[in-house]
Amino acid sequence: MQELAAVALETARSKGASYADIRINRYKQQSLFAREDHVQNANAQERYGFGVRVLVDGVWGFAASMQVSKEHVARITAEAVSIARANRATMHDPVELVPIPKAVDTWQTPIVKDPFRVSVQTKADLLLAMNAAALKAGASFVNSGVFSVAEDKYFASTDGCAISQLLTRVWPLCVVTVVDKGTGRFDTRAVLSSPMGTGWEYVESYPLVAEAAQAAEQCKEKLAAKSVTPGKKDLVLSPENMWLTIHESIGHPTELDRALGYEANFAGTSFVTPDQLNKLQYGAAKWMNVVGDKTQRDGLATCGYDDDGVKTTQFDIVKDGRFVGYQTIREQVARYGKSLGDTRLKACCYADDYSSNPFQRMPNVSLRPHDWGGKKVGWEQMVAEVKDGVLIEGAGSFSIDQQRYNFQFGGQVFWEIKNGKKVGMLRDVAYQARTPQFWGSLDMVGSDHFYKLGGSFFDGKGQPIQTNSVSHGSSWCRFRGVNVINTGRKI
Amino acid sequence: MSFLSDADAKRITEKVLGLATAPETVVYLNPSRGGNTRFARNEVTTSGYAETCIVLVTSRYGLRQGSAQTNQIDDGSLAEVVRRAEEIARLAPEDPETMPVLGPQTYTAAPGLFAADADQLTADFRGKIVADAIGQAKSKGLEAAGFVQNFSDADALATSRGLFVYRRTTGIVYNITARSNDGGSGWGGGVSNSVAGFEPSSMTARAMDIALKSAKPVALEPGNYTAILPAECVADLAVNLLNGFDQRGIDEGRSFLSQFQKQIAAGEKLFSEKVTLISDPASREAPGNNFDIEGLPIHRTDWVKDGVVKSIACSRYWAKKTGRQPLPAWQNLIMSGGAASIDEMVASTQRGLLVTRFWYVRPVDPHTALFTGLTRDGCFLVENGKVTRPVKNFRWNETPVKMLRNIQAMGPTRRVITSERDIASALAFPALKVTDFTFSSLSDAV
Repeated sequence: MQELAAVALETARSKGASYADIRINRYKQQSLFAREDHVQNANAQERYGFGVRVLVDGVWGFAASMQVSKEHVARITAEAVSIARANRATMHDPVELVPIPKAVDTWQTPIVKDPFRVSVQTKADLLLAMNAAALKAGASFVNSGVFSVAEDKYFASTDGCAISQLLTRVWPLCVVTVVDKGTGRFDTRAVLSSPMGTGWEYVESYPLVAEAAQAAEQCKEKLAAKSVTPGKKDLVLSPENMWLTIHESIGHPTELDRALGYEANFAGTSFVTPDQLNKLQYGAAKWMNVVGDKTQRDGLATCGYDDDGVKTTQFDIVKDGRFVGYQTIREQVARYGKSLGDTRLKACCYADDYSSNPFQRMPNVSLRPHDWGGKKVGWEQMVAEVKDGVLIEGAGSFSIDQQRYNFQFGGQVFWEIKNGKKVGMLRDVAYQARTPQFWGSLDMVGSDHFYKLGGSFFDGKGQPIQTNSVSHGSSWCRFRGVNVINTGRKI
Repeated sequence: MSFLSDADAKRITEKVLGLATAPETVVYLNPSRGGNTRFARNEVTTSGYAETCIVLVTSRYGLRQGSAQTNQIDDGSLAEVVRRAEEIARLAPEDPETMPVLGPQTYTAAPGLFAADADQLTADFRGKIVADAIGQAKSKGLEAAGFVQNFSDADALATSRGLFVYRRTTGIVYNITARSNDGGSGWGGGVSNSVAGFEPSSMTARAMDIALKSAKPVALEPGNYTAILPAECVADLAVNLLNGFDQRGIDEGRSFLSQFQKQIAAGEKLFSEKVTLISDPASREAPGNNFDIEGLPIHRTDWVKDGVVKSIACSRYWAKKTGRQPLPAWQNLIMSGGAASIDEMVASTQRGLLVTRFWYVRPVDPHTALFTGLTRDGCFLVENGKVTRPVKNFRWNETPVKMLRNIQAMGPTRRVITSERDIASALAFPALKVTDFTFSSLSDAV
């Protein structure tokens, strides 16, 4: 590994690069799916290759190959240099990098049980047990699956970094469908498990089989439920719903590359413009504290070092409701750090493959639970103070505009709240809001007893599109007077 | 990369099949190379070149099946990927839906997929497109961000029953967003399998033109409007609709088409008689793949003809179980168009909205094929046959079923990319003028 890295770094230097790094990575993914009483698609994937990134006269060049040998490393490094040179004409602000500590280190996701050492039979048995429980409880159909992912990464740079990391993630999932043959309607309810940056122990600890049965029961109930009356209502949202709302309405808008226009052509920009730093009241001062954290235990984006070779850290994004910090990467600190008044390295650089160009990706972004002095505060306390509202569990349909203002989110299970009580299930529910108003209407955050991580295995950004795995933690939350729409239609 | 040829693919797939000990084996090989250049804030940001490969081996022991994938093609890696696939297959429980691997098949030629002029494009080729875009943006006082990508790959599939099929594909995609400092934003983009006939300068010009015209948008009340939708928007919704054309899903009662089974069987219209939607690998407008991941041939298929559903995709397993013929899902989609230009659609509209493109289209209710999404990069009010002013963007909640019933006018069919797919898009659609499109809330996003 070191010898291959030396070839890349030396070739880059000799061809005029002021900086170079190489990532030599092996990716493993195992997946297994089942529908009803049988397993389908047992699959094991492996990808191995390297990517070389060079800075020549302040211009990036990148090239990658799956042909891993000294000869190909030299060839691909030369290609990266020539790509950088081809783009010099259109560069007006040369890229600079702030100095970072030289890191020679290893890091791995702290796991108890390696998911790649769990047998196919054990995994199949789990999926079939979930499916059987759902079918017994009245599901018409049930699809379940489990992913295991490992990134075995090596990073070396002309700054003297040499970092080995082993990242592990798992994701058990199950979706139950019930068809009402009388009405011709159908609906689904997913088990609320989440992808996690852990070993197999998360899969073992989550009550998957019991919840699969509950999902079938609730799906039947949902089909027979009252269609929601639209209007302004109070919302009580579970951590399993909150993660996606946090992701879309706080995670993405506080990425500096978006705020500056680097993603304007695809993912979009942000309403959180640089002049808003330390000024924008993002949400309710008493309740809203949001952190970016790539060191968080069990987080999908958690690692020791980012793909710039920068040590990962925790940082404030929203403090007492005020926007106080962007997510950034090394080159942004050099170019924009002083003008923003924020020169802290936040280690948010990531590439999803050896063949992908590293760029700014979201760390775990979470809403801190409220300090209730040890008192357990969750949905029951919140519901007690609601006259007309909806309690939502789980994440569902999601869509948000390219500056992250207007969003519309669904859920898995919706409960009507009337006069302080959870009274019965609803269907056809989505909530639609404008981000700053929504967070301004936050008027209660639960205690840490209910804090949970949810997350996405496949968050997309960039061109060509890259995926990022990222977690978002939250306790229960309550929002006042949010626009609830009815999604029922006839065709 | 040196193993994109027919002979190389044959050699590698034969080696894999020779290593296999399972009764049945399928090997899929997909080497590729490609480059891309991104720009934003009127300068290049990143640019790269990558060589990748997929070797996917599926092994079957009766009804037990497993697959393994690598990206390495040395002898040791090929032996290892076969060993892993067979190990997983032996350990996997029986899957009653497992179908025998296919023998030799007859395929429709898809000559438009590959073009020699797009096989080995360089950063300089992409750089010229980018330099032109940035130059134009600067001269107009706009800020441009965009992306150029080219690729060349091969797909080969071989089975232990003697099937071998191979194709080459090339592609170029370009898209650009131009923004003004007073709230204007415009977009242009396209995709092609060949350099010949690919005109990025017209896409750049469209983005700049819309950016200048959409400045200082005003808020308009949400509601149901007549909408003039460019081909990109129509494709965004129609693609999602066609994903529900699955026989098993319909039979199981979990497709939006399940409620229309009687009408489909009776040959009744579900959409406007103007709607004809087909797949055809041999299409000149948007060439499509001619075999699927099992090696099943893809021939011309009429999904909807004159508003009547004519075909529904059906897996091999479901076809066998229900006594039907298997039919692969769509790989390219072409919707027949008309002759109306956007200007003519505007001229015939009393009050409506002219849209540039959609964004973040997601399903809301699969029972009614209800989707939500937003307008982006230029939305305009049309009054009394004229575009009168730029308006702020909207969130919409609508079903493509209704869009395809409410057609008033159709433009010519052209190749498009959708809002969140680009390089793999094989889609050709017309612009549509449709009535009663549901714009449900305002978006302040530019």
